[in-house]
Amino acid sequence: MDTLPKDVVLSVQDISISYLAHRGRTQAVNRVSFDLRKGETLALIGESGCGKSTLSLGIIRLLPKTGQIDQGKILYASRGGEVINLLDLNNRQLRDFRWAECAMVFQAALNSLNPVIRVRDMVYDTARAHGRTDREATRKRMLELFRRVRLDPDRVFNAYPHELSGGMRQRVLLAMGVLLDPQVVILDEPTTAVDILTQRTILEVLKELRESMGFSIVFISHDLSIAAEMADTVATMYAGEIVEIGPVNEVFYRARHAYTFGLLEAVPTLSSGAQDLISIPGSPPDLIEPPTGCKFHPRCPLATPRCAREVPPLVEEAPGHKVACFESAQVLAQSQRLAESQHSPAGL
Amino acid sequence: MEARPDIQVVDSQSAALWKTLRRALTGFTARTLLQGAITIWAVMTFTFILIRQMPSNPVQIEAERIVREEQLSYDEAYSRAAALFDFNPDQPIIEQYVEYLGRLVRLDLGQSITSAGTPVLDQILQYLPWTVFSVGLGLLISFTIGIFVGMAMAYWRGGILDNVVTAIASILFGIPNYIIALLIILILGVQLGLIDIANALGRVDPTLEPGFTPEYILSILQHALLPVFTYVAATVGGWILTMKSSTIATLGEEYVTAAHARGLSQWRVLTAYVGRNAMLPLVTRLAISIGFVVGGSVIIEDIYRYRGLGKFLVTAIVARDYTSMQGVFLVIAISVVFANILADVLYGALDPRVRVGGKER
Amino acid sequence: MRKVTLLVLVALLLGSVAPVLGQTGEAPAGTFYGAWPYFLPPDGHLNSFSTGGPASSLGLYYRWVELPMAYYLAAEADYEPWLAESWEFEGEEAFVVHLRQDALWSDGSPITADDLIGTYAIGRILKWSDFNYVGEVEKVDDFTVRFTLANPSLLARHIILRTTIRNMTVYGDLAQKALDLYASGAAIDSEAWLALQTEIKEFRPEQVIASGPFIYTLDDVGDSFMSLHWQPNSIFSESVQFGTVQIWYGETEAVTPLVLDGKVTYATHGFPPATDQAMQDAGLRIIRGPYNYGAAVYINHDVYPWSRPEVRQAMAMVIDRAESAFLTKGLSALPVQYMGGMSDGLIQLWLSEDEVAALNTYAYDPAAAEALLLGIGFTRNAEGKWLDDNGDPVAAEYTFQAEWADYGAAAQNAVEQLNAFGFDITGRAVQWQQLDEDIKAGNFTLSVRSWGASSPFPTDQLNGPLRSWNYTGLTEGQTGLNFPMEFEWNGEQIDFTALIAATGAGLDREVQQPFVAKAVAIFNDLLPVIPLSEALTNNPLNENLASGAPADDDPIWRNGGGSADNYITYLALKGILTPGPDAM
Repeated sequence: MDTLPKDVVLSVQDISISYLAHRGRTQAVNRVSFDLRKGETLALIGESGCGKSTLSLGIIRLLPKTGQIDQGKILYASRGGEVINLLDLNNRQLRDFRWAECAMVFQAALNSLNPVIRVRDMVYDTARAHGRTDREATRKRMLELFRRVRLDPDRVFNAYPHELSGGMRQRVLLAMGVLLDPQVVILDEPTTAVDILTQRTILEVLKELRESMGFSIVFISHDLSIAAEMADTVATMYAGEIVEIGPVNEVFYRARHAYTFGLLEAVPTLSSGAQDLISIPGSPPDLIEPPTGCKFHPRCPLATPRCAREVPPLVEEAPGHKVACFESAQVLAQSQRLAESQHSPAGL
Repeated sequence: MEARPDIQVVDSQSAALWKTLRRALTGFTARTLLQGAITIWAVMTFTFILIRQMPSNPVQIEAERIVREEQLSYDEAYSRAAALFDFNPDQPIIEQYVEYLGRLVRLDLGQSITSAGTPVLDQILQYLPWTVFSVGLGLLISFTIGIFVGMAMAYWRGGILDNVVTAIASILFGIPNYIIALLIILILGVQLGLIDIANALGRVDPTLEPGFTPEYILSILQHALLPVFTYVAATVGGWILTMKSSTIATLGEEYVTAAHARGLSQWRVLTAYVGRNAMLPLVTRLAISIGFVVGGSVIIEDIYRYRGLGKFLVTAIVARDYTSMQGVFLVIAISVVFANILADVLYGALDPRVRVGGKER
Repeated sequence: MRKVTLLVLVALLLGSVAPVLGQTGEAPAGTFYGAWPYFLPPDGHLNSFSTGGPASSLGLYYRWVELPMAYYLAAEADYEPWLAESWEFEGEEAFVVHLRQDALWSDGSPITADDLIGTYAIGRILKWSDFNYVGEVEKVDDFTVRFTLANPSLLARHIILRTTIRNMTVYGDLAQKALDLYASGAAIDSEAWLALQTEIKEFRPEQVIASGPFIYTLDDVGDSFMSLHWQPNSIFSESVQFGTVQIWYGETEAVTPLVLDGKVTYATHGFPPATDQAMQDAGLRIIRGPYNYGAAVYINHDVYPWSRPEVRQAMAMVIDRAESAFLTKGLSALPVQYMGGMSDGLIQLWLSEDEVAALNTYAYDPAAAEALLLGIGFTRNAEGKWLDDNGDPVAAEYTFQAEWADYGAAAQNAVEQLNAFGFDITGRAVQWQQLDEDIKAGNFTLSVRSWGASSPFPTDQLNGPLRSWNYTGLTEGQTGLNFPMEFEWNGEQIDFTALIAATGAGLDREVQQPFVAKAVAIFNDLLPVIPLSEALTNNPLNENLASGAPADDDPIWRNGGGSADNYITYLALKGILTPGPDAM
């Protein structure tokens, strides 16, 4: 019987996920581990294709047919304190688990809604699938949630998806995500396709919901500023691996992995103009035949011959701050300089 | 002070259905009807002119038949044929047209030229029901099988069902229906003797008294078996393959994954989320097919001696029976126009995005 | 061997039993399985004066229901009396028909002069071509009718005798109106005339009253087959050996599998050579009777050098007609032998041996053709291609019917053979009715259409191409073949139109004969069209379903497979054909 520390609600332990492709097996997620505590918001950041979406689909066991979980455990502590390994669940149990315990809000808001049926039918479908046959109660709760995400409840409830704007749809998804009061909500790039004002609204209603309902969040983003605003913990993923994980301030102000640092440098800030934007040279690695040693080494400005030879282990270098980089000391020095420059007036 | 009949738990389904229908029909008004009428008129006029441009005319054709059958000289045969038909090849076409149009507005399709005294309407009523029955049933079965098998194949993509059925469907899709019909007749009928081709063909056992008797209905169904099977065999491959690719595309949609993520049952996802969306591209095709149902399939009807409108049309064309041809073309035009309107209504009912009348409020 | 013996035994047995059956007035056992694309109600009805009625709907089986006055025996060029007992010309004034006095309608009433007069009264309103020859139709007595002749011709006899008599219980009212209208002196195509015409055509009788041994009602007309039933009162009721005639519906494609499956006693459809072979393989007997016409090269006489008789004669010598016939219709076509514009059989019937011997048979002889062309100043160029006396290449387009496999094959073979000889001919397929229009308009150089005619009369045979397809018989402005009908031949001025008319004028065959011989000789020399092959029927006869058909050299087969005077009609009604072992 697996056990979890008292405040941990979700624990991903040594998970590997691969896809079967024509050329061979793609290692999309490689031995990833992390814990999510109650009420915690974990941001998974990284370039597209780094495996963060695969990881989230793996957690709710919704990988496409070509994908499979090769090893590891995903432990989940139910409200009753029972710890279950999600990989042991059968289809029926999985269906019950999804949404009621762990909801997921997908990236493309328009495409996540069935275009040919009304919002209310999707709501009723969801409720009925979890045994909540009292339509009136469902309706009342949904209208209340819509109100809380600042939507016109009656109109939205009876609307077809195409009758709603992008921002409205995203809020509909958020509200529907918490309909069944889940412990964990996975948000996959919830603000990607919306304008900056809508983005603010969404982040605000999300914070309000989190505050009032107390669920934990796995927040997937490539937008570091949003991650910084929302997250308690930040994990950087590169080529299917978590290369750095730690408390938000630790990671952002004292980054110890060259890749995380590269991402931070690439963030346009108010103080640095767009012309200063540094993107990381090179492209994400081939996951079928990944580079030897540290997978980031071909793109890393600090790489040494050792990086190409040995795989750096993930070690805890500061309290709660783990990193897999042989040159973490150098990176730390650079990131501290960066942090200072951004905070000093000289940066203007 | 009447309360709006808001969403009641019991009534909501039927109310929603009614609302959907009403909205779909709102745009389908005078304008649609007018468009349809203009289309029908244009087709009618076009065919009217066109069929009279075909070489030869009814009298010449009948004269040739008399020459062949009665061993008379052409001149003799021609004078006999000319007196048999109410047709004057020298009448200006515009005069014929005005006459025809005048009758048509009184819903009179006129009389057959080659069978003087037989109203064209009677001819059409004799043949149309059989064609609609056999081709329509074939279409219905084919479409239904196509939807379900296509979906199943997409769902278990790469499985045995998918591989076997894809191969079969591709082959069937490539074979014209008359080849299938000929193969059935020649192999099952003549070579193997499994089908009594003498009595299994035709529309119904001619020795039975027509009526709503079990024997008569059974005989109709038995005789429809071969043509319907052929129509299904020739078209089901297309439906299956289309539905399969459409379903595969739909299965990749985010809302399907999202529906699974919400814990919906497999069945509900397959019907309301996958099926309904995957069917959309097929609806237009279905409507077009419905439009052509009345035209029938000339060669199938010929091979199975299943005398329907298609066979009748060809007979009329060969005999240059202008009025009969015109009548059939009119019926086909009307049904194609009607099927298109139906397609719009149906598509609107299935896909709220294209609904006539646009957004709510 | 054993099977044949068995068949003969069964036939003999049936032959001895049959008269007994007839005398008892009971329907004979056995079914005759025919095939024909008959009309289905409402197009099909029982008015045999109107299209869709028995006369046009039942094909050859019509004459099993309503009998003609006589049956034409092609081999003898003579008639066997059926409803008529005898007939004679009264000089050139009139043609008199004496009806049999013992012939009855199916309702038991006698067939009389009134029925015949009524039939012709209605026929007059319908502008039957009989009235090209006939003036008045008068009753002499109850069984004698006198046709006064407006235009004395043997053709009048032919047409009248082969006419079926209709029953006046059914058509009497219309006949009376027709007689009254004619007596009133109404003009042809006057309003009253046209109104009665329409009334006749739209008349829908509720029953057939038959003179033949078979009868039917609309209830017998099913969509896949229809049935005729034996009735006891006909002059052939005792002789016919079939109790039922079941006619499968369908044209060639629909009927072919039934034929191959042994479900059809006899079919008149034109089958392609491949089916012909399959039918033989299935053990069916194929009846090959003459059509009296076949494929010919049509020539536009407006175009040089085709207008030169030498060119046409050379063509006749370089197209191997045996090859052409085989490629056209396999065994169902014969190469034309005498090249006289008439069926070879009819030439033998009409011309003396000396006259036949004098005809040029244009045997396959490229060397002779070469000499002929060189003799009129034609030359070959370096590639061996012919140039005419003006130095222009002998080139043309040869059009043929896209839908007609047989004539298409004939044309393509002719193109090949002519090109092998050094002409420069290009074939082109055209929709057949369009091609008809093209030929009539003179809008062609070489094409393929028929020589001869289905009618066995020399006039009709020669006029086959020369009236329907030449300027003389076409409408204003159409030139057709544009073969000049007035020309000098052997130093004599010929009016070919008049000469051909003379082959059918008058009532004396002996008077007509020299004109026929001369017209054939001229045709043979000038070749207005170049006959290639004569078509033969390929009607399958299933001898498991019908026994007793005579051997292939029997003269009855000269009658052909048309609807009128069909050989099977004769064999079946006379009781020569009897149900085979599978038809009982």
